Amino acid sequence: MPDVTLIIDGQTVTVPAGTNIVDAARSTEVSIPVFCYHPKLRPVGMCRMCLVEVWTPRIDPATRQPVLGEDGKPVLALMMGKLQPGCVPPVSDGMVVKTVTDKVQFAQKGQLEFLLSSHPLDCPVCDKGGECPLQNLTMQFGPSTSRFDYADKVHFEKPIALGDTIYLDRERCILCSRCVRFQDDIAGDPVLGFDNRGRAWEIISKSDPPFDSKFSGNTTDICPVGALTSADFRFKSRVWEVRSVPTICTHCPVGCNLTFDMRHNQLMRVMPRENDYVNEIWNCDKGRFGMRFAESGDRLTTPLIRRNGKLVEASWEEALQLVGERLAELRDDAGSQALAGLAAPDLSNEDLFLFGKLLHDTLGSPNLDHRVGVAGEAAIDDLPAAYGVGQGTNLLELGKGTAVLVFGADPEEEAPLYLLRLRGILARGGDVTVVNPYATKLEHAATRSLRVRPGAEQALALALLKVVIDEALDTTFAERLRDTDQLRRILGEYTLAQLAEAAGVAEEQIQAGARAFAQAEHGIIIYGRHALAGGNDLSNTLANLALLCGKVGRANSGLIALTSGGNTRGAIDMGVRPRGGLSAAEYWPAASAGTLRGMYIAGLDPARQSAAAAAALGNLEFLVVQDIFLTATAELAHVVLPTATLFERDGTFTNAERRVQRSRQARPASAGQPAPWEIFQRVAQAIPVAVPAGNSNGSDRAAGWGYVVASDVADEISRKVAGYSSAGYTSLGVTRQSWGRQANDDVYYDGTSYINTEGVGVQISSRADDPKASFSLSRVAYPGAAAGEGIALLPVVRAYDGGDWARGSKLQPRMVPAHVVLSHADAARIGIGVGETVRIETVAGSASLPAQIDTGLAEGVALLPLVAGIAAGDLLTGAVTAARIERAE
Amino acid sequence: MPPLTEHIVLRDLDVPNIGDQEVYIQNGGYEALRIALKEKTPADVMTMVKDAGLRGRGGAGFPAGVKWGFLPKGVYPRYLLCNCDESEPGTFNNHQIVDRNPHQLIEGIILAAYAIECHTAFIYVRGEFAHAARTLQRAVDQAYEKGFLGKDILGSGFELDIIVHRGAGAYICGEETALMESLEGKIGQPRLKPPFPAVAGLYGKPTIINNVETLTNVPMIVRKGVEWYRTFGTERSPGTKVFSLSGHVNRPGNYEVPFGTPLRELIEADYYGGGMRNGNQVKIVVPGGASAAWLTAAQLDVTMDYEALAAAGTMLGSGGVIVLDETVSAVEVAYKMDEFFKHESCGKCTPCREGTHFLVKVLHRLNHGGGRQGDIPILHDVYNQMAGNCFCLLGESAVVPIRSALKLFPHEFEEAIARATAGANGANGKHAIALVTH
Amino acid sequence: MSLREKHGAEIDAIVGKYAQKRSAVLALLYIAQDEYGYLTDAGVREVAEILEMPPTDVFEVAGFYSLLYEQPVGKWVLQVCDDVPCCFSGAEELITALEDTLGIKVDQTTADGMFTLQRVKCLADCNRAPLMQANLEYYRDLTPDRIDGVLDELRTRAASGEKLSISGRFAER
Repeated sequence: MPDVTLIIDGQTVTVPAGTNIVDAARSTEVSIPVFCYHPKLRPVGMCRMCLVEVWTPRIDPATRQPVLGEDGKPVLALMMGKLQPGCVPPVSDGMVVKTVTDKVQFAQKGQLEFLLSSHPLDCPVCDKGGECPLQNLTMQFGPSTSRFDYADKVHFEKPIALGDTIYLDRERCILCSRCVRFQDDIAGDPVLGFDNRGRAWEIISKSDPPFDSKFSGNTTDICPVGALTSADFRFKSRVWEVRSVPTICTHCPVGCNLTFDMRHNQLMRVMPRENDYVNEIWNCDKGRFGMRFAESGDRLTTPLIRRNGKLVEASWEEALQLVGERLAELRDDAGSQALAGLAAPDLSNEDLFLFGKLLHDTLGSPNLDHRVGVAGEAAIDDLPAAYGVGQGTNLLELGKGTAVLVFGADPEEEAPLYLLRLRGILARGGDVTVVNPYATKLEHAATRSLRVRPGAEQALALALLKVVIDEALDTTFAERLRDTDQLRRILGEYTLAQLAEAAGVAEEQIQAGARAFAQAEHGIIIYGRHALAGGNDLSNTLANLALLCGKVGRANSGLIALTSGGNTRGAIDMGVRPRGGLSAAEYWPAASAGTLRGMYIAGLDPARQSAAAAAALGNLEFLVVQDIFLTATAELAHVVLPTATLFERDGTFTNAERRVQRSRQARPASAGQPAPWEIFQRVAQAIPVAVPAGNSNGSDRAAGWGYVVASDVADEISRKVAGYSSAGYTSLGVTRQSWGRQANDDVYYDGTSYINTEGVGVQISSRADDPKASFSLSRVAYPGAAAGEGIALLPVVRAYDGGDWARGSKLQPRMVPAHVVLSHADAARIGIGVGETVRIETVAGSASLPAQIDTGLAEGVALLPLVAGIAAGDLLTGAVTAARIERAE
Repeated sequence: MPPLTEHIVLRDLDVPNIGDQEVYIQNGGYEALRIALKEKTPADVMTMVKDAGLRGRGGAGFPAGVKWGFLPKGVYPRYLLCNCDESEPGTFNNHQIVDRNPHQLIEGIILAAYAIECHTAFIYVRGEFAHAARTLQRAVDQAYEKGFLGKDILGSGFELDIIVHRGAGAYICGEETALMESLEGKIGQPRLKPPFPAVAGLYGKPTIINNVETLTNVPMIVRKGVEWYRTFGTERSPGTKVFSLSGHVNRPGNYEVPFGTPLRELIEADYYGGGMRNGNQVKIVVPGGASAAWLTAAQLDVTMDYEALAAAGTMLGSGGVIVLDETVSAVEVAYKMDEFFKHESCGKCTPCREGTHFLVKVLHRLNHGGGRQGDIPILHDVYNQMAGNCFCLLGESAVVPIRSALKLFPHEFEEAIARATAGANGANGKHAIALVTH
Repeated sequence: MSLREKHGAEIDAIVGKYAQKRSAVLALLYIAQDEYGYLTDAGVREVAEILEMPPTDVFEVAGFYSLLYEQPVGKWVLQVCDDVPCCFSGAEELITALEDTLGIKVDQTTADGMFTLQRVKCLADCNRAPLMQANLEYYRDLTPDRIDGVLDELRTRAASGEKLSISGRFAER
């Protein structure tokens, strides 16, 4: 957009057209006070705090030219003859804005006196005190006294719970509607509104349950007074008493930048930390309120060793020596192939790298994985390393000209911030196509929604490809692609009508989606759990689609896989994946058969998810489990090693867009539990020097294991892991100023989200970012219709899954109970009402669960939320499981 | 000026039972529609209305034909909204029109819709007008039966639906954008402008909104011609205006008079107000609904047209003329009027929401024997903080009564305070605590 | 019986008039409060479901408009205009007389559930002051001496089995 030049308080300012006066002033040194205006929200002009004098050149109606005065300068006229809210009118050339005239100051004082006339002034007991725009602006712009009697103030019952996480103090509320607009426009959960009118206006939430949104905590940040406070932080601390530690959320692959506000080594609150590339200034409630697990009294504090069938406390020396000796014995006895390791995909890169080094290099095992090996899990997906969104990708800058294909994913549940970011792209004019077998919140806002038949996702992906190839929609990449003809031949075997029929989606819808994606300037494919569970064929097809449309190898185009862990990308990059050995799913038969004999599990709990896995674990000769809590898997272990949490360690994490970000230690572990990487090192150091013939790895005890701090490991990662050379701790600390943030003004403009002073991380390049790279299109096939008998049972991710992260969380009441979701038609056929129990039988097993009914679900489809109490491995066979569902007797 | 022998709007006074469709038709009803559809293009009709100088009767007095011309070319669908949310205190002319002469309004709506090429029109009727809404609905149904509404009206190919929509009690919905919000099923709060309704109004589409009385004029303009129409009223305020006369006159009621009729005549003439009750004196005249600045007995020679009233520092507004005699207290009139605005303040903007509350709080105590020293400067400050700073005209209107009262009758406020402070030796209430906002 | 079961045809006709369903929200809330005596929480949620609106949005509407009652009211809602000019033409005397006759204060309901008394703002019939509406039917020139007769008439109508509507949906005399 062209720039506009105007004068604000005597200073000449040039800003992009469309900028409002408040933001234009902000780009210089002028502060126009605001309450209802927020740069992330649509302006509403309600609070009248930002009233200023706006003078514009008088235009001669006949000539349409500015009228010139005797001095030859344009004659100015006061816009509309009165003060204007600076948040509303866009700037225009020749505009003169005055923010410090008598008239303006009189108005500012007036608005503050009005606002304070109903405000309780209970700052000493208000959580917002110290970071409160009302306090700040009253100091700067307000009258020193109020002429309004205290008895005249409006009194309400003190705070009422607006939901499980948020309290509302109606006396403090200044009715600016920031929270309502956030929920309506940004989050897309219109659960807040105003009851009554005039002075009796008050915020209400009438969703069921109240304030039913995964983003509720953000409203407390942008609330310009202490009206909305979080149940998690209420009366915990004054904000100036806390020490703010920059961390990264590991609950999902978004990698939101957080701040842990600590006092005396105790967590007071979790706040979002600004990062335009990742979470803007937001985070989700799981990240904000789901960090209390670290304070749980149930945490493991000392190592445990199984003696006489029971786990008993032991010293670290004892435990480590036992682990080292037993692993070495098994290796020497049965060979490295008899050992296997699992490490959680929410451990840091440093942890995962050393886990790989321990298992693969020191112990020589090729058997590594970051999954638990139950049916319906995601396949390991290497594609983002090659075709992931290009370096410099920033979803915040995308809108018109961008098309996003969201395939087999539920962003709200799997990676909540992506829901906000995709809604943002839509709001800025972008195009979003959703492909999923069941309804998701995203699709309400999406440009189009393609309800694919479960099991026919590949048919739909091929149909999209076929439209692109047949219509030759994009050829920019033609020279760099090999095997186009082969793909064309394969696709030539089917008509679009056949594929569309198989997918259960109208041809026009498929064409619209394909054309929108191919013809956009930027194209991103986001695929999630449902797509990944379908195996690599589907993701390869999606990669072909991106390649054929030229949507790889540059910023803002490419693939984003929503993997299940906060650092799955890192786990894959660090080599915690089968290295020519068994995958997790293959562990359990191997362990049951006795070919796998020893296992090291760090942070995963397969026993909870599968009876077969639990039985197999019980068959192991030696099982080490390293965790925070005594999990079902840990209870089967021979040695249990307690470990530090995210709070208690330094480390880096790689998010879904391959952005490597650093999280800092917020406090020492209360019982001295070491960081996972330190434990791996100490285990390695405890492995005796026995030298089995032909094994060169174990010949030198503890060689190469001399890491002192996490950055020592990171240094080695940057030397050894492809792509990570640019991601050393120094580069991770580089910050980036975003949308006109002004030092010291952020609180009253933007809320309490922290400015990022610790670095926005580094997005590592994908192979496609190399402009000389050429690509092979994968050979993809149409598997034919998956004609399963009975109801198609689909595992679905729920953010509030009742996992260990939820311990001590205010979100506990919101945890999703174990249940199955039936379509209205199936429920009617079976004769089942809401809450009644059904019996589910599959070839993998059976279960009895209460039923919920979703009228939006297609007949013949049922959803199985993956939450606590569901042993997915005992019921599922894959992404789609044929099930018989009957009324439980 | 003699009273009208032939009315343009209140034709129920000339023709008994004109609300009956047959009677309406027998007396020239729907003739204008036939003329327009057969002989005139939409642009012709718009030009006629422009040339007639028909000004919006809802309060602002903006020329209706000019407003219609603001619609962006080639953007459809368009909507026409008839504002029948008549709620301004002292105003009841729309009420009489829809009760007694609904077909002329409907014909006006059809003509306006034809002129602006719109195919769906809404009549937004205030919720309290339950009876009037039924009357309108019946008249609309009859118009469909006769082929004046629906598809292919009178064989012209022109098509129009009219939907009668009842509000549910909110003065603010008379504000055009709040009315649209309400029609869209939301709380009735005004929108930011721009975009103006002509560009993005109801459902985000180009929308024209006109008052009941404005639209009721249109059939007569089209049927009898611009020249005829302009024989009424003044050069800049052509035509007639229905004034709702209420308060302490002998003959309160609606009177349709040519623009330019003196206020004194309206109050005193036998054929209008018939003078003051009990021979009392005029104390306050509110010439255009509660939002209009007050006039006093000294200003009765002002003529009732947009220009003259503006020159007198007030406005024609809604045409609700409230005449009060010397038995009323100016403090009480201001209190009651601002209580109205406080009651109707939607809550959206700070100065209106808090200011009306503030004003009423102080006025209440002044009116109930509890004034305090310093109340007068507070009142001045509060209305000055509101004036020009509110989101919409509701808050600006709330300024008017208190400003008028303080300007015209300051001694009544001083006396109220003197009485209160003397009477109770200062113990009449707590002194304001100066709260230090640290 | 749900609103949809009982008033399905009327609801469909109303909703069908509009380009967007939610435009029908006031009309449906009128039906709901007639059906349940006032806007019960469940009634508001029913309307939200029918119109596919977020419940919060419907509660907003129910709270904003003065003719939507979120608290129980009598069979007849008596609304006296106390605005200028009515207040200078006998409205206050009328309100006092009604309070005395009914034995209740403004914003209260008689023990038999027959009458709720309210003060309201301008009813746009100022030349006939003092006046009130009973379930939105006008009673004009209502001097205190006429009160007994009017109340008797309203009681008789309630006893006659006539279907009353606090929303003014089908009152017609």
